[in-house]
Amino acid sequence: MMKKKVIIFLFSILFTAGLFSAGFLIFSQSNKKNEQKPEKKELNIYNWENYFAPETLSDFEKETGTKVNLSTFEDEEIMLSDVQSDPSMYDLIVASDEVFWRMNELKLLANVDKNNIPNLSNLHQKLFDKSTDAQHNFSIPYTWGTTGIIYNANFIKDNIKDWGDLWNPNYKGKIAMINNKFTIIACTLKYLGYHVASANESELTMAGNKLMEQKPLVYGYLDPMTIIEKIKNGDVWIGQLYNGDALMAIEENPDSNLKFILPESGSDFYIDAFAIPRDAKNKEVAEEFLDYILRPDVHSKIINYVRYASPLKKELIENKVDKVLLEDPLTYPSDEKVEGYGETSKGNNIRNKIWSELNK
Amino acid sequence: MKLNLKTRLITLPIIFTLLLFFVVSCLIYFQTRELLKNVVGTGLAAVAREKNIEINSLVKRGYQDAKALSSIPLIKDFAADTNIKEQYLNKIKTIYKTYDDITLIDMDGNVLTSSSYTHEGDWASNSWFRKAKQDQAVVMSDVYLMLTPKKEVTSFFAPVKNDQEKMIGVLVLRMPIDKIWEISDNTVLTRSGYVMGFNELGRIIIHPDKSKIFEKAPDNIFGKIEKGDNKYLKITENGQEKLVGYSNILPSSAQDNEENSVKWFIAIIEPSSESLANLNNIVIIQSLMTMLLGLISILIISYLLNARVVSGLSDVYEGTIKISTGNLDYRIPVKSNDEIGRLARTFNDMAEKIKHYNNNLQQLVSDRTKELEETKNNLESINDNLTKSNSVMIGRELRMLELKKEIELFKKSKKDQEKGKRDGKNKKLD
Repeated sequence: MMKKKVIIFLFSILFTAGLFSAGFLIFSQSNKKNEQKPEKKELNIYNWENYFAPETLSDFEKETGTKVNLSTFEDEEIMLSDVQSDPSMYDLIVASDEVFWRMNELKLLANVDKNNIPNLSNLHQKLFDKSTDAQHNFSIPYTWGTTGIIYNANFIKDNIKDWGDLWNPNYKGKIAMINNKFTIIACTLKYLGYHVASANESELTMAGNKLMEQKPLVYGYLDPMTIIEKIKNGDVWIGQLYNGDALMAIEENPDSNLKFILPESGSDFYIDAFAIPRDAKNKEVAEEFLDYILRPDVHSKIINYVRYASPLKKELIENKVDKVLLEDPLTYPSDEKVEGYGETSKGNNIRNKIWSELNK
Repeated sequence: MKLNLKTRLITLPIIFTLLLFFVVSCLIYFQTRELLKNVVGTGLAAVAREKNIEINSLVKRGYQDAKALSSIPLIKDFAADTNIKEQYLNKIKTIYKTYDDITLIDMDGNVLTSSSYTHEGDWASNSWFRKAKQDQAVVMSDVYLMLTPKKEVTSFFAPVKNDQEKMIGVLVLRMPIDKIWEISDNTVLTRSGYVMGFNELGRIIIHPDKSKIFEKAPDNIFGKIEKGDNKYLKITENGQEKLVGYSNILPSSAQDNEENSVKWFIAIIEPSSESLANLNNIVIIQSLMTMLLGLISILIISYLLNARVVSGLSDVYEGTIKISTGNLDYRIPVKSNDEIGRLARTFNDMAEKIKHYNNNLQQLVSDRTKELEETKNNLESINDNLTKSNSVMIGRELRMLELKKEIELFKKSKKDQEKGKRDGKNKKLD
């Protein structure tokens, strides 16, 4: 009889202890859940200055509740250096296909999860057949463009036709070149009749000499926005500039008498794209943003503002984008006039040396 | 199957001994295994630390070389001819073979001269360049790739100061990471053991499989490491348990510039089956040796037992056979004073008694036989006498019997005569 009582007593103690510990566990778990409130999404973008429509980011923030932080650079090489120093700093970067090819080779980029970007089907795929990332594994096209010559017709009365006009001694001290070694060397090579991305040592040396010849005439090697500023205020009369930037400057400054041409000897062709750095902290948000960017309504607004050619299928945007822009040969140059870079690694040491000499 | 005593006396102890040793060995093996893992894990951490120190001394030399070269007068002379400088840098490169490029940059990030001009990207915005400029101290970069030719490198950025101690530029010494890989690849480990190094972002920078460089370090290692030395982890990879001893690289120049140094982790990874293989072998060999020694002792003991017990018993057995066949004079040789000896002695006593009884019995039987003979003879003579008197008696008896019969017959015939007379009377009356 006594034994039985002891057993019942022990069981009741165990049962109570079990109840308490279960209760404690549930309580602590629910506390944990409370602590794990979803944080506000964040997206750190590193882009050229003025390369989104004014409402692009705020609309995305409103739609998704994401906080977007935008940083801007003046040159892609700066962006490359920044990402190289810390591949976790940005979630999304913008550059041309040539730069992204190199960055991918340098293992600085993450592979894009295409399943998260269904709007990739909106792209006019034919454009990318010769691209270094035709399958969009690490870069998602944004716009495409070429490089031409912008000049202020208030100061220049000559008929500007080709790259040679940038070597005109009459414009000494009033010539601006883009601060990108690939662009200036590519255009010089084209002027000399070679491929924009030539790896041939003698061709590159010739281009280097040609640029050294020009150096005394040059006001400076500047970023696109500075060139626009300088050309507007007359510090610079003529300069090299990307077509979209030039067309935007012309539209925004109708009184400045700015003109833009595509050189007769041809020019480069590049696809500006987005990529996700290797150690991006918000990769999925970045992909969500890329899908948003490729939406025809969003993309049309951007194109109308940045004045670059769109990589989207024409039928998706033709009712939304300015007709003038869609038909402008300066925005959509013919294939014979422009040349893509492809894979550029050979000859980069010569390019670097030329660039170093030009900057001395 | 029935086993005889001899076989049983040998086999049973052997089986029990083997079983006992097996159980004990298993217990020892499993109990010592965890202990051995601790030993091996700590050992791997010590190897990681060794590697760390080796790599660190190379890194430290980078700091020192950058500092030393940045104070050479020709390098400090920014007005000097670029070509002469370039030649000079190339000459330095032939002496300092650890570096594949030496570049001199001005404060704006423009390259003044370079031995190879192979850097990709812009210097002015390069964060390591900016840090060296800002801190006016030597800074080491993380590992990064270059394109022409494609290889992984790390660079040392040293401030260049003029005679008035004013900073005028930065000297960059670029070191291919394969100098570090030489150290890691030369580590003696088990067959599948390897050295892995990763940076603070968890990107692999040291690995025997070079295609893994810049890939993410496995979460079960990177996510679990703690700062400090002599630490190790147990991870499971493809169902295989592995031991990971690790050490975080000492600040490259701990004493002067801890902030600027890159913090890498060096991990030594070995499958525990391989790490413990040697120790397992020791445990197994020891167990086998003990088992063998035990077996030999048991065999000796069994043999001795056999000699004592079984041979004693077989002597007794032989004795019983002989006695049972009638050899009552046979005596079992008494070899010892133990139970077997006592058994033999008792048996001998018993045989003696049997012999004694046997002898007595024979005497008794012959006496009895003699007595019986005499009795028989007496009886036979009595019998003869009896036979004679009996025949007289029997003759009388037989005569008496014959007389009785004649009387009976006479009586009967008389009765019949009387009866015949009465019947004749009755007929006359009718």
